[in-house]
Amino acid sequence: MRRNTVIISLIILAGFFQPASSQKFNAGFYSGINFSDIQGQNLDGKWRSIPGPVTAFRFGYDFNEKLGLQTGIDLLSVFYEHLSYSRYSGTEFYLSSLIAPYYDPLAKTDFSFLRFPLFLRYSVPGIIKLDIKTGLLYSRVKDYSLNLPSYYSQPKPAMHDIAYCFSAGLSYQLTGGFTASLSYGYMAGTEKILPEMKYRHGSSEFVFGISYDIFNKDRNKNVENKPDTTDSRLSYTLIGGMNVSGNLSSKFRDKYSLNTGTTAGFLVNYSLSRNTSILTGVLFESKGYSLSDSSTSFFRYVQSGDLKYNVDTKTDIDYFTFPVLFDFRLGSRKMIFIQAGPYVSYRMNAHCSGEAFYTARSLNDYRVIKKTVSDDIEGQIKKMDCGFQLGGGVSVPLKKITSVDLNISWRSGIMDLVDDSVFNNNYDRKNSGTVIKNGTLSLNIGIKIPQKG
Amino acid sequence: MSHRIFKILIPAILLLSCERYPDPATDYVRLYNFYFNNTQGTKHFAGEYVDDSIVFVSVNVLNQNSRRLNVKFDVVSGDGTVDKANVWSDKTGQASMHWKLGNGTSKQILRASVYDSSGVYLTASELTAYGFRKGEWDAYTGDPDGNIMDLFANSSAGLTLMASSSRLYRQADRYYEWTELNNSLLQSARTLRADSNGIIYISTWEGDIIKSSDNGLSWIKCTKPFPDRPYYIFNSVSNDGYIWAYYFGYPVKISKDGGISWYEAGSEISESGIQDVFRLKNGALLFHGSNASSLFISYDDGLSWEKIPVPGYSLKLFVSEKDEILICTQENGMTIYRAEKPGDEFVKVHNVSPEWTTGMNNTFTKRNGIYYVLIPGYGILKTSDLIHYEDFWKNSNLRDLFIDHNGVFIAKDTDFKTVYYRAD
Repeated sequence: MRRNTVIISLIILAGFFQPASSQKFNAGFYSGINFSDIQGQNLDGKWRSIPGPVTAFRFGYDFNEKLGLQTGIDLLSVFYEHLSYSRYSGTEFYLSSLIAPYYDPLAKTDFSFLRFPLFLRYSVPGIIKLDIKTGLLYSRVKDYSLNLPSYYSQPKPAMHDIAYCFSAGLSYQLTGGFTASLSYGYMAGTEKILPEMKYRHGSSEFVFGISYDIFNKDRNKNVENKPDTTDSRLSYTLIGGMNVSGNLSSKFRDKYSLNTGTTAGFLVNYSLSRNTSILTGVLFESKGYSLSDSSTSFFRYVQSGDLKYNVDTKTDIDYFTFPVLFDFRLGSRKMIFIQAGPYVSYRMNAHCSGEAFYTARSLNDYRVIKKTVSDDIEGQIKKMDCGFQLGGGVSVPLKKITSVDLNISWRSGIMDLVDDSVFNNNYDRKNSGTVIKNGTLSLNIGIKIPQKG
Repeated sequence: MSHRIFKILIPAILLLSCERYPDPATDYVRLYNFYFNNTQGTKHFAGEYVDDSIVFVSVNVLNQNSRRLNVKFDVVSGDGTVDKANVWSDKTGQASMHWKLGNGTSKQILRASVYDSSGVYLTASELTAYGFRKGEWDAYTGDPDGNIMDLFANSSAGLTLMASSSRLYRQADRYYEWTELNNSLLQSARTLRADSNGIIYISTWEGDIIKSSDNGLSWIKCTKPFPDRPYYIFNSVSNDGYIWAYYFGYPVKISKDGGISWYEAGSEISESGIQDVFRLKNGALLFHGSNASSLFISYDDGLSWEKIPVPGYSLKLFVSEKDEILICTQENGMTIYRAEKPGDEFVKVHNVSPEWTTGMNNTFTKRNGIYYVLIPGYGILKTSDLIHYEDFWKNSNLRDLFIDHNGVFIAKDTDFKTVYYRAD
C-alpha cells in the first residue's frame, strides 16, 4: 500500500516536470553524515548515536523562488548500538555467569538503505537562503546484520520503510549556476524494524551539497546582478541561545530543580504593518529538569516498590518547537519589541542521565551499588507539548542591512509530559495528577539575515 | 560573509555529534560479605557454650586492607549470654567471643550487628543453635531427625535406631545426636520394625527385608516376599515374631521363621492392606488392615480369617500385655474403644476432637507403666489403665510418637521437617 503511494507520488512529481520551464530544474550531489537515532526506546540504557555515511543525488523543480519539489536517490548506512546496565564494569555480579546470555538482535547492528525522497521545499529569501523541507522517504534495505550468534534462528527485519522527514538548512548561490547548501534533517520511520520489537528506524543527518541549475542560460552571470524578486515583507532570523528549564508541576516541586539547555533555529518574520509582524519557525530546544531525592524511578519522583535509589539525575528532552508569535515594536526607532503567542513542540529525544545509588543488605552481605544512569526515555515522555510564550527584547540595527535581536522569553507548557503508558491503569494516571510540566526561560540572540540587493 | 558562516557551522556540527551522555554502568561502591565461621544449627544442652568460640568474619571484597569493623553481639532468643558484646574485627576481619546457651527456648539466636568505623550500620547476621532442656518439649528442624520415619528402642541393649530419609541412624550419647549406620544393605531403608525378642527388620524401597539379630551390628537380607516386585512393600512384625508383607494386588504373606520362607495368608484379608497384627494369649491372631474397620481374627495361624464387627470406622488396633483390645475409631472425632478380653463387646472409653485425621502409625507407646497415645491432629494422651485418659501435650501438629531407650519422648511433626524432644 505504502509502496504504491510512493510510486503514485513519483508519477505526480513527473507530471510537474513536463510543462515546466527547463531553467527551473536543478540537480545536485549531496554528501554528509547521519547519526543513528532509533525510535521506540524506553528505559534500560541508551542507544549510542553512531555516525554513518549518507550520499544523495537529487533533482529539484522550483515552482518559484520560494516553493519547489525535490526527489532523487540516496544511499546511506545506519549503525545502531545499545548500551545497557548489564554491561557491568568493575566487580561482576555473582550470578552474571550463571544466567544464560540474552541476545538483543538490535543491540549492535547496521543497515544500509537505498532511499527515494519526495520533499516539498520552502525557501525564505536572503543573501543566504533558508531552505525548509518536509516530506516522505521510501527506503529499501540493501543489507543488514543482526547481533545474533549463527546458531540462533535469524529473524528477518522489515525490508521496506516509509519515513517522515523534516529538514532545514542554508543555501548560498555561487557563480556559474552552482548553489552550495548545508542542511540538517531529522527522520523517523514508520515500520517496526523487527515485528516482535517496538523499534523503528531513525536518524539525524548533516548534509553538504552542491547543486547546479540545469539549462539555466544566465548561469554564468554573477548572482549579484540577478534581479531581486524577494517579497520585502518576508525575512528570517537565525536564533541561538541558552535556556534554563524546570518542572512547573506543583506536585513534589521540592524534589525537582533546574536544568540548562540550548536553543537554535530560525524564525520567519512576516510584516503585517509598520509596528506589527507575525513570526513562526522552527527552534531546536533542549530542555528538561533535574531530580534529586530517594525514588524508584530515575526520571520522576516515585515512592512505590521496595527498590529505592538515591537519585541525582538530569532529564534532557529535545524538542522541535513551532511557535506562532505576534511581534509588537515600540518606540520611534522600533528597537524594543514584545512577542507573545502559542507554541507546539514535537519531542525528538528524551534522555535521563546522572547517578543513582542503591543500598542493599542481607544477612550475609552489604552492598552499595552505583548506577551511572543513562536511559533513553522516549517511551516515558509524550510526543507533543504545547503552551504559551511571552517575551521581549531589544533589536540593534547593524550596518543598516541587518539587526541583532537580544531576546528573553518565558515559555510555559500546559500538558503533563509523562506518557499515559507509564501508569498501570487509568486510576493511577488520574491519581497521579500532573507529574511534569515544562517551564523554560530562554535568553537568545537572533541575527536577521539581510535581503539581497 | 557566507564562507564565514560555513566555517562556524561545520565545527558546530562536529560538536553536536559528540556523545552527550555517559554510558550506562553498574558498579559496586561498597561490598562486604559476612558469615559466622561456626556451623549453623548445632545442638547442645542448654547452659553449654556453643563451640569453643564464636567467630564472625567480615570480608571487604573491594578493599582487603580496609579499616576494621565494629561488631555488636546480642542474644535475640533463648536467654543465653555473651562474654563480649562489642568487638572490633582484627586485621583478618574476624571478631571472636563466647556464647552460652540459655533456658528460654530450644531454638536460640545470636545476632551480630556490623558497623563501619564511622558508625554506619551495615547489616546484621544471625547464628542459630539449639539448646536442649529438661522437662520441656524442644523443637528441632533439620536433618536427619526432623524427617524421622520410624524408631526402634531397646532399653536393655541401650540402643535406639531411627529410620529417616532412606537411611538408618543410631542414637549417640546425647539423645539428639544421630550417627548413620554405614552398611550397603541399609542405603534405602524405609520402615523399621522389631519383634519382642529384639530382632530388627528393615524394609527397603526395593521391596527387600533386611534383618539384624545383634542390635544392628550386622545385617542380612531375608528372602524376598514378592520376588517379582522391585519396589517398596508394606510390612509389619507381630508380637510373636511373625513377619507380614503385603502390596496391592498381591496376597498377604507371612514368615514365621524370620524371613527365610513365606506362606500366603487367607484371602479374606488380601484387600485390607496391612497395619497391625497381634498374637493373643489364646493363640489366635488379631489383624487390622490399613483400610477402615478391617478387623479380622484367625485361629489357624493366618490361613483363614473371620471379620469382627467394630463400632464406627476403626483405624488402629492395639493389644496390651493383658490381652485388652483397643481400637481407635473415627466417631465424633476420634473415639477409643476397649474390649477387656477377646470376644467382649467394645466399650467407649475416651473421645477427642482432632483438627484433622490421617492414618495412624505409632500410636500406643509405653514408658514406666504409663501408656502414651498419640492422636494425629490432637496431641498426646496418657493413661495408666487404658480406661481413663488425660491430655499430656495438646499439639495438633503432631503425627507420630516414639520413646527412645532412655525414655526420651520423640514426637514427629506433620511437616516432616520438625521433631520434638522431651527429656525428663
